[in-house]
Formats: sequence, structure tokens, C-alpha cells
Amino acid sequence: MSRRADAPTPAPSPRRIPQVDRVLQALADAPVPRPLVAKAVRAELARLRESGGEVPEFDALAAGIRADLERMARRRIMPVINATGVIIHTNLGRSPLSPRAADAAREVAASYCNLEIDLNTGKRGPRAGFLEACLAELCQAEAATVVNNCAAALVLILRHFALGKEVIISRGELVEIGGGFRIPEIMAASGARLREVGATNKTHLDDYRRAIGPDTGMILKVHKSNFYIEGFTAEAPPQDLATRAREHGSPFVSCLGSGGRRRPGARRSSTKPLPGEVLARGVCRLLQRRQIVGQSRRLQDHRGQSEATLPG
Amino acid sequence: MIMAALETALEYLENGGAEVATIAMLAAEPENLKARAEAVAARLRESGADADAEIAVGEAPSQIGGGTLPRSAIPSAVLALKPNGKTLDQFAEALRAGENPTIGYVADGWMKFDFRTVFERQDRVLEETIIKALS
Repeated sequence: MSRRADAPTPAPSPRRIPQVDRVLQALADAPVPRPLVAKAVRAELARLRESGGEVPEFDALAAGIRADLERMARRRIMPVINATGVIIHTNLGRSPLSPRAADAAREVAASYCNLEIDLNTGKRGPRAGFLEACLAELCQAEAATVVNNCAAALVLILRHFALGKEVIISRGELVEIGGGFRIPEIMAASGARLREVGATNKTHLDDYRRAIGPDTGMILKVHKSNFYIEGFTAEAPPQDLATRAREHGSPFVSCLGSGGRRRPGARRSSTKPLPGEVLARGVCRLLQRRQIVGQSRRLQDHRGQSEATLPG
Repeated sequence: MIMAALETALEYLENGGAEVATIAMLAAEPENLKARAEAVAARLRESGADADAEIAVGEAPSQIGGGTLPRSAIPSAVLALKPNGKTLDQFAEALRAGENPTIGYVADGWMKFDFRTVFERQDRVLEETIIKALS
């Protein structure tokens, strides 16, 4: 009779935490870069070690980490089918490029290009001469330029024209737009001083008139692009604001907030002003999505400036 | 790179803009969108997907934008599905999980697919994605 047969059955020994390398091997085809796989494996093993709990079977452990990595891989930017019916969908990348525009971007991206050289003279040239000329024509503006977005355009304009000066704006237009950008904060960041006039629902020309003075650097109009105020409302006509600003020798800036270049069609209603219409009313400078800030000859003598943008 | 794309985009705007994807989508006629939705619905039924979901084609408004033009409704056509074996949330998750992630919207207890924002070249892929997501 062997002693072994009499020995008590030993308790099953707890499973040991596997080696990092072994888990890495099992996850060799995970759909994310190797260093991220290693980081996830180490983190999971460290968590097991610290918790002191039961170690799962190797396959289950690897499968759990793999599932996390696959979720991470789904956060990569990839094409999706937009069946929401929202044509310019911010969460889905806004406007798709046409194949020809995408080809143009791809061709330039994979090569050197004439970014700052004028091929006619061989000398240093302006960055976006052709683009700016096209855009100005499209918006019936005297000049145009492109920056990242409306907030960026507004910061540049405020900084240039209203540093340390007052910017007059209606209390109904102190808006917050996407990305948490707020007009008062943009103004503070630009070094301009906010001069609120009127009330949330009503602002009259007289309100602006009373606020204009030696400290005035600019009159700013921000269009209500992502909300509506209805009922007992009033706002000052832009052409009158433009006239008032011109008399004072200050720029009148209009922030349109979106890039519509034309009415979508007779049966479709939109009350949003278009760049050409706004400029025709004497606005000095106009901000739209994917923004254009333009400067005209008239800007120098402060009688007016123009600017416009591109369809977002 | 961005400038090259913008320059090209501006060129077509000069030519009326028909080549710009968003302008073409805006201009699409609801009847044509309905015909595409009906074609996909018919193929879904042929493939037996009507065992997994109720399938319908209807009218519903598209929008130009969410944030900047929240009130811009345009008449459009939708394919609408009500899955039998799973909730709308599970169906939405399955639609996002595939090789061609697809985002529809839920309204009145249906998962709807608005054809105005689906490129015509994607109709087949949409159909396959729906079949996989239902199964």
C-alpha cells in the first residue's frame, strides 16, 4: 500500500498569472499596433496581480484583452454609410469630398507642391492665391482667405482690429457654437472688450448708436445659426449697422457661421443669409464655416472690408 | 492638401456644383430616392430578410445640417425596418459593428435609412449590412 494513496487530495493550485510574452503571442494578430497590445496586456496582468482574485483560463484572458483591443480599433477613422438623412452631419465628418477633390488632395499630399513658390517667377509667392481668387468670386467679395473655422477667423479679426478696444454686440448674439466656443470667451482670448447692447430678444439700432464711442473698435453681428428666438423680437438691420460703423470709421463684421453659398431650392426654406447678399448690404467682413477672412483695398481707409467663405 | 481639395471644389462650384457630393444630395429627387429604397426593400425580401424584420418604404424629411441649419427639412424617402428577434438598440449596434459601419436613425419604433445621404454606389453594401445585422 503506498502512502500516496492515503494522502489527502491536494487543493487545486490557483492558476498562475501567465507570462506577458505568451499573451502577446496569442494576440499577435490583434488589429492595433504592437506597443498598444503590449500596454493592454501589461495593464490587465497588473490588474490581476493587484486584485489577488482568481486568474481566468488563459484563453478567456486573451479573449477578454482581444475584445478590448478590437473595440479600440473600431475607434480608428473609417468610412461609414450615413443613412441618417442629415446631409452635413457633424458627427459623421460633415461634407464628403467629391472624387475629383479627394484625388487633388491625395496627389498633393504624396508629393512636394508649390505651396509658397510662384511658378511664374520662381520667387516666393502667396500661399493660396488661386484659392482666394476663386473664393472671392464665388462669394462676390473683394477678397477672401481660408482658415480652420469661424472661431479661428473671429479670433484673428478681433485680435487685428479690436485689440484693447470695445466690440459692440447684441445680447441676443452671445452664442455658444460647437466645440464649446463661446463669443465672450473668444473675445476675451482675443484681447477685445465685450460691449453688450440690447436685450436677449430685442436689440435696436439705437442701442448700438448709444454704445458707439471713442473706445469702439468694431461692431460684430453673429448670426443665430444653431438656435432660434421667436415671438417678441427685434434686431437692427445689418445695412444700417454697416452705415453706422462706416460713419464711425470702424469695421462691421458679420459672422454667418455656415457655408451656404446659395439657396438650396425654391421649395426648401432657409432664412439664412448668403455671403453675396450680406456683402451687398455693406458688411465689412463676413465669417463662415471653413473660413475666409478677406481684406480689400477699402479696408485700408476703413470705409469697409469684405470677406467670405466656402461651403462647409 | 486641404487647399488642393478646396481649389478643386471651387472649380466645380463655378460649373454649377453638380459634382459636389452635398449639392448632388440636396438636389436628389424624392421619387428617385424612393425607387432606390424600394429596390433595396425588394432585394431584402428576396433574400428572406422579411422573416427577421418587418420591411417598409416610406417618406420622411432629410435635413441639411444638425447644428447650423436645424430647421431645414427636405422631403425624402426611407427604408424602414422593425426587427423581430432583437431590439432597435441591438440592431443599431449590429449595423455599426460590421465591415461597413452604417448609421440610420430610430423614429416611431422603426429603424430608418434615408437614401438621400446614402451614395447610390453604397446601396448593395447597405443591403448586405442590413442582412448581416438582422441575422
